[in-house]
Amino acid sequence: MIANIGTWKIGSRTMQTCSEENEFIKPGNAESFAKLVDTYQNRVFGFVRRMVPTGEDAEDITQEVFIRAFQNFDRYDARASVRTWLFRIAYNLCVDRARKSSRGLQQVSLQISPDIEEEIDVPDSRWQPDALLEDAEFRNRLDKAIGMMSEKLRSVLLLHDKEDLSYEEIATTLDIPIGTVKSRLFLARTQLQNSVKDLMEN
Amino acid sequence: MNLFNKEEAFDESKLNSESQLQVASLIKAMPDEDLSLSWRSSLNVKLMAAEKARKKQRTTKRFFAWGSSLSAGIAATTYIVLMANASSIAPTNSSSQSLAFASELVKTHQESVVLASVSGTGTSLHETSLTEDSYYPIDELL
Repeated sequence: MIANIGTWKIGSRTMQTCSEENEFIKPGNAESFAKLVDTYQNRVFGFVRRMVPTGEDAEDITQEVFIRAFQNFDRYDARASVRTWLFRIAYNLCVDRARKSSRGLQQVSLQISPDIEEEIDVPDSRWQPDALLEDAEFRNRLDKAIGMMSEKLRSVLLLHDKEDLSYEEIATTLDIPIGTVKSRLFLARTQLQNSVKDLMEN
Repeated sequence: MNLFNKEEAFDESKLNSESQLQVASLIKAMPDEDLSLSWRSSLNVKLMAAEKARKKQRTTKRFFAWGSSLSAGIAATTYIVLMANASSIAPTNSSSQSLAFASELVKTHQESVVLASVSGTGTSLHETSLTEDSYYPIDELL
């Protein structure tokens, strides 16, 4: 549970921030927003970069995220943390972009096959993700596998495993139930492991 | 049980299996890309433009708000002034007019009464009735 303490004032508006964000968001004006951008620009870009096909699109969308955030303080829901709010804007913009480029959201079945669980649950004590990621082929394969994933699964996977958002925060960001977050996360990880399984074994 | 509750009942232990955690650690270890300084300066320019647009919008809104209030105020003041002037001038005019009209009415009435009281031949300018004195045989006239 994130405790909402402190305030962040930009112009005439005041917004609540959570404790960890309060360290850099001080009462003030545009300078506070600049600090917010400094803190989140790479994280938002990292998320968006894996949600849209090209780096150029990702840069445009990331800028749009901060411009929208700047313009819409009055619509900011103080119950959510600033980062949840930013990722929500980012996700919506990615979905909009995908729709515009005729890559609508794919329907994903939430049925979980028991065979999948048995197939992939292979414990490995020698697991070293950093070493694996040093291999360019593995990295490319992983990026492609993430890119091939439906946006529903991909967004949950990235927000949870890469951006460390809690189930509750993801549920708020994507406007879905917490149970759906968990089942999508499970499916995303399973799908990804199947995609790179042969390389992982080698 | 609705869909939400079914989804809430998802067994979280499945997410904590070793294979699932392996993938999670793989995702976490993925390298990050940093944005360039030119991207940031471009963002700053756009934010300044957004701020200007917002200020302009605010000024326009204020102008319209003040403008409409001012117009309403002027209209109200003008109306009040006109009404005040009308109430101070109009009664004098109307009373004199009504007095003249009333006197005219009385005069007309009195004349009609006098005319009605005088009866007999010659009281009317357009009398056509024939009397014995005014009768001439037709052959005399010819």
